[in-house]
Amino acid sequence: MMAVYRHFLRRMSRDRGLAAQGFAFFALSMMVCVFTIGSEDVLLTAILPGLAWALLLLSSLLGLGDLLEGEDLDDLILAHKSLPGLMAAKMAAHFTATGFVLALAGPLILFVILPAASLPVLCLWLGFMLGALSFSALGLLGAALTLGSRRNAALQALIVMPLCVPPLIFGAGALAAAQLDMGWHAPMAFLGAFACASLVLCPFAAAWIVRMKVTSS
Amino acid sequence: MDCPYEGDIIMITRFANPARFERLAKILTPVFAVLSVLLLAFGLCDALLLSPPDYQQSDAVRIMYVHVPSAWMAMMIYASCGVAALMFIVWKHTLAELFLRAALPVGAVACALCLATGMLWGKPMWGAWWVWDARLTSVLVMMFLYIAIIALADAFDRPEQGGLAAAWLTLIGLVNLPVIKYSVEWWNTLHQPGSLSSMKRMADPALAAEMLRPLLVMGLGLMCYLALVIIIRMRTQILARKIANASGVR
Repeated sequence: MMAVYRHFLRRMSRDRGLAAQGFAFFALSMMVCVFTIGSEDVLLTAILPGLAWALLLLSSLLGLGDLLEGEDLDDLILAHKSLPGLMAAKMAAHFTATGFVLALAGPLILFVILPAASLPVLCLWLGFMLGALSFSALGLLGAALTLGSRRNAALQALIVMPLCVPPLIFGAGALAAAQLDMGWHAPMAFLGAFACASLVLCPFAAAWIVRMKVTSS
Repeated sequence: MDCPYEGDIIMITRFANPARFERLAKILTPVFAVLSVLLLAFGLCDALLLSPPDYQQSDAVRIMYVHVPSAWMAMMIYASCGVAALMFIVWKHTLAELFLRAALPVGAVACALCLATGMLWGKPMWGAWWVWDARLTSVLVMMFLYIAIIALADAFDRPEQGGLAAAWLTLIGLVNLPVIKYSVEWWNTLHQPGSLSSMKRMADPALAAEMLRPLLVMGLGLMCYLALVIIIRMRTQILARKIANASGVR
């Protein structure tokens, strides 16, 4: 499985420079937001961390278009007996190339832009990590569902975004509570539970969907 | 022939046969048509004219007689789509796919009606068209799920793959139904909890009988009407496929 993971990761980063693109997209949209909101510290401190959550979701949609496309799935299925394992490797590669980088770098951007004292560091990093994991898992599901369709990218966004509402609500809820100096552990625990469940379930669901599509064609 | 599940399978496949469905639909179409006209006519008169105004909301409470039935129908159609999706995935019944494709847009319209009437009701009562409480948000997610599933079903060159993908997404989205149902109990919402939310409350409803009667009649009427629309849409699709097959175009 590690070899498969490394193969996917190399392909994603070599062919597409996905990590750099995702980071650039995230930073650019952040800049656009600052331009449109205005650059007052009080306003930005209140709004920008929550916006960063929304941008994390949008940026993690980026690599989905060709997560499963662009290679011979039949060959992969024949070469690896465990399709859920294969899907998990894809998910891990997607997370490493997009979500992981953003979860590390996103809060850093916030530190640069905002007065650092006002930011709940631990809550931001933990939340972004768990959130990005959930987004990658649900994104895998979206990629499996749209496999073989015509309008891939827009359709994936349409499918994945409603599914991503629960982790988004828990994550942003934890962040809002932390910003108000209130207890944020309960929503963070819900986010963690959601991330764990989706990490375990989504590869299996995606494998079932892909297997059905391949066998029915 | 000594399959232990034979009885069950026969019961399911019995209505999965398009020809038998066609015969059943021919009987059901006029029945649902007459029922929906009668029930909706009586229900509307009862709801708009006969039932008393609320002591707090006065006449604005009459929005309930459209809002609540459309919410019921949006959820009920989604649930029935979930059953059809499972049947399509497990047994590959064409009729289940036809039902899915016929019912999803109808459910989406019911959901949109529920959201629209809710907004019209929210403005005078809460002072806002929209608030972000758990009930409204989860219904909005259902609306987007409906749109996503419909888009997914039409996004493939080969229709059967679209049907399969749509069926899977319908199953995944079923998680949202209990969230909608219990959102008013799990979270402290501005939206009021259901007045008829369980069997116990059905027996002792938090609603006066003069208001409960038009509500239930409107609910039944809307159900008959939407069932009629779904049956007509299914028959149209069967005909369209017959024509396509006969002329050799797929």
